Amino acid sequence: MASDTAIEYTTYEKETDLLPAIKLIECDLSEPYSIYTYRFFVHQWPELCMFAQLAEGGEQVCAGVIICKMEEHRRRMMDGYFADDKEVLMRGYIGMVAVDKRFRGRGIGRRLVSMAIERMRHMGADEITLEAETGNKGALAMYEAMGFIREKRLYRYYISGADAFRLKLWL
Amino acid sequence: MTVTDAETRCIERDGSGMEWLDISSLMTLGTSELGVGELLKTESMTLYMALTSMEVMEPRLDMGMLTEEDKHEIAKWDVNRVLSLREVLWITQKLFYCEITWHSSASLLQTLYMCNYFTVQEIPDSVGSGRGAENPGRDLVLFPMIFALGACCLQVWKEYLKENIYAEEDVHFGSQPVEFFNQFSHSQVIEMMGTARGYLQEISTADNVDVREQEAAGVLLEYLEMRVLWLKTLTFLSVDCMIDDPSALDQGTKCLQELRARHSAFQNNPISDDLAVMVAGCFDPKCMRKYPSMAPVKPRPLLTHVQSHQAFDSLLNDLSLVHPLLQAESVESLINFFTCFANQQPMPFVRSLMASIFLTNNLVLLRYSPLSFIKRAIREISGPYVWDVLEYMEREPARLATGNTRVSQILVQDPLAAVSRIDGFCQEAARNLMDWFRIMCQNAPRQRRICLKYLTSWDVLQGEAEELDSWLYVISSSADNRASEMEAVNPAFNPFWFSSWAYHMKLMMMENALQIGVRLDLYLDYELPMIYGYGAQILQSHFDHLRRMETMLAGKTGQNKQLVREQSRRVEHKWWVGQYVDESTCLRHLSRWLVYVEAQCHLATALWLVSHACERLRLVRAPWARRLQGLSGDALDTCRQQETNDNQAVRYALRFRTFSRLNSPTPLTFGGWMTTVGQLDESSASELFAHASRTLGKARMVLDDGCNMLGNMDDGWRSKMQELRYVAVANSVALAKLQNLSDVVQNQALQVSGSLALAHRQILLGAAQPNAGEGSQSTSASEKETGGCGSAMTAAAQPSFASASVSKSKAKREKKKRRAAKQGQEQGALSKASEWLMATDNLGVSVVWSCCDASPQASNWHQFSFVIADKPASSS
Repeated sequence: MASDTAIEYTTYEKETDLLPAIKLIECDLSEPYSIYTYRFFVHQWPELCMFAQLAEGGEQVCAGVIICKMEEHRRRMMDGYFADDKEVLMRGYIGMVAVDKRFRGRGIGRRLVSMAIERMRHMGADEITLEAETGNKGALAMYEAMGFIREKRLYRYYISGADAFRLKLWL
Repeated sequence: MTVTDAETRCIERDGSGMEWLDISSLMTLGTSELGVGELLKTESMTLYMALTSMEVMEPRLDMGMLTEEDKHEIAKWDVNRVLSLREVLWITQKLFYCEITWHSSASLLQTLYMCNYFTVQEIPDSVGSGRGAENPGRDLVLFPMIFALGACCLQVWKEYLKENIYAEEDVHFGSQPVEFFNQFSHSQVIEMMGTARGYLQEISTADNVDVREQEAAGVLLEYLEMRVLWLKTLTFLSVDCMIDDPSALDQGTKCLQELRARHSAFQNNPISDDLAVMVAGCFDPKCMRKYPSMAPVKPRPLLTHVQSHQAFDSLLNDLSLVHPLLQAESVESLINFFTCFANQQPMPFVRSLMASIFLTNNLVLLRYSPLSFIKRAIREISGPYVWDVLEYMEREPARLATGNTRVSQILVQDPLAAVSRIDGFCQEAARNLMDWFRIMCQNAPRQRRICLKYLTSWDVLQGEAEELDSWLYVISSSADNRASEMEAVNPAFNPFWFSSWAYHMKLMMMENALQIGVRLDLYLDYELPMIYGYGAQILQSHFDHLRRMETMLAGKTGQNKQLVREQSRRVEHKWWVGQYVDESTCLRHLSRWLVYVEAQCHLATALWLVSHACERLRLVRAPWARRLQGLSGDALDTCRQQETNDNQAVRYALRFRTFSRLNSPTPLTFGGWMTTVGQLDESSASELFAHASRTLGKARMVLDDGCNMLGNMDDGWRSKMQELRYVAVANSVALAKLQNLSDVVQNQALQVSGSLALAHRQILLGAAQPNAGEGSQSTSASEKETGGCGSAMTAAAQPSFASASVSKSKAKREKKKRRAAKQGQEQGALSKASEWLMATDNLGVSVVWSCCDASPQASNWHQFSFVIADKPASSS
């Protein structure tokens, strides 16, 4: 196993960057995404698609990936936090995060999420949301340790029938 | 780009006359200009569209694609296979598991549609004919069972078409099976089942039949009888049938009781595992290729035999609520009924049926108009006074207009306009109330979301009601002592009948939204003090409001006697919604609410104190604070970032943002919350535990008195209070256990005040920091948090780890001495803080916050509660 210092964090540049990341994500998913889902993200927000790479056996391996987007979101409710005349919030969304099982426990996921949050913050995000399966204790613990709170529960959110928590971080 | 002549020549015509053009070369030409992976899309393309797109010939996404494995599976299926009864039993059982799994919120594509018999194009003539067949197991038993199952599903589907249940419940049907099932009417299906019954009885008693086949026939007979009863139950208890036939409710209830008894007996007689024989290829897990579907559906595990029958039992149990629902005789009992129903989370079909029974064709409970229902609802809580006045206005408009009335104190220029204005308000209120009942039929996550969303409209309704109340107060005041506008808006004079009711409902929804959040596991442990604290605040407002209503109502008792015709009190209206509600009945309604809200308020207060003390003892910790020990690098940064006052304020604002925008009750701001918390700082954890224990005792006492007070006016309140009392007792036991644990009793951390504990925490946090600047920020946050309490301690111990430069001059030596002395002080403070940290680590218990563990009625009740884990905590 490579040492921590060997981990390199890169940003999406071209289609070939995506393929190893797709393999990684599909290992953890109950359902496959079509290629268009990935392209929907990376072609519109390439700077919000980041990889953790490390050298293994003389080759660069994709050890982790995060794919996000950021769009305008019309406010439905005045919350007293953002100014009332701000009709639209910039909402960042973390779509996919995956870390290779062999390299877990080394803070790769946390680092990728932190980097994505910082980028979105610089891009003007007001809030960041994501969904996580209610049974995915590890992911929930990580996001909650970064300040996300469980905003709502989504009934049968996944095709498998599992519920999800919508997590939100106000910036 | 255009189609070339060469390509035009490639046009082919198939057997049906359709023309096909090979555009491969055109495609190649067109895509050659694209980069690898380049995406062409419209601007309006959404993530949802991307997620539901498919890749052609990708077996995991292309539902129509047949792999070699698929072809092998399909080849196993033979519709003409002659089935033994043991095989028919296997299919019947599996169909039952599919049906119940569907009822439990699974897609039809993942359940019933997997059965290949559903897609048989031509039903053999022998099906339903009653004549001897070559394949009697299939034609005389299986097909009738399938059509009966289809008839049941169609009954359920008719209910779903009323759209009380949202798409997330996954109960979609589709047209093809509807056509399949509709080939036979209900009476034909029942007749076919009769033929099947005769055949199975014959087999089970025949001499020359295999014993196992006879056993299978016996079990199939049981399934058949249950199916017939289930079909009858669904038919009689359908809303359409109950509207058309007044006896349908009784007939349906009778069928249901019989079915429950039969099913219970069936469950008590286990079937040997090897009796049913599997039929290969009969169920196709990739059945979605036969149906239009937006996205690929993954096969999901069906409920097992035991789970299916348990779920069916539960479904029947929930359906038995239809009868008491239609027998309810007060809005209060209905509110109780639906609150308990919502907590039970029945299957979507029952929730949909309850919503339909509550409101269909603009009729409440199949009989009452929403207007009469809302008037009754307000009357039950606000009392008869205002209604007596209004009824008098309506009855004697001419007298009122001329001032020639029996009741001189009423001065109304245009009584009919007044009545009309009240009716207008009631129409609006009825919409809100109908929505509330329908919300209670949703799944729990949706209940909470809609509750929060609708709070705003209740807030608006309350505002409208206040205007109405003020106007009504002025126009109905005495002629010689006309009420001033100032008086009309003063709650000391004006009872605010309508707005009081609206406010009561709004507070109930706020409490409900908080409690569902606990049940849905939305709050983390570290948020619980905040949730319980806010909850206690709302409940206190509710209690104060109810007390005021009670005082007002008691003060008005008997004042309007002359307005009411004696006979109107005596007249027995056909329906309960129109019957007179006197003051004493209203006062009893209010008393029950007062007891319940007061007990809940005590409970929430006690849990606030316990959770706050636990947080101080580090038995409850924020996710980042769990990492406090051995902090370094990112973890330390995260911890430091999250421990700030600002971040707490953000989380507070996010959590209570809906409440903060309401006009009432006065929102508890973050500053106000911190001040409230600051009041606990001078108490030690053991003092907080003792206070919580006394508060739980008060809750029990209030509930005991409440149960005694109920008498025969129950309406479901007794069990509600008893369940709440159980939660209070369970929490008292858990708290006593925590207080009596020897490790805890002797632990010095329990004697430390809140200010000191906070100071210790900040010192430790600061000591772990690499530079002094950030430590100072953290400390000032602590001062803000505690409202200044403990700031002396914190200031004295403020860490400063800036590197001491080496100086040769005396002045510098003096400075060094002072710095050394200061560092000594800091080390002392750090040492004390470390002792505190160690003491909290040595508590050896862990607290589990739960909304149900403490209560045996967990399935139908949720309340704030906690348990103390038996095993020592392994965390930290």
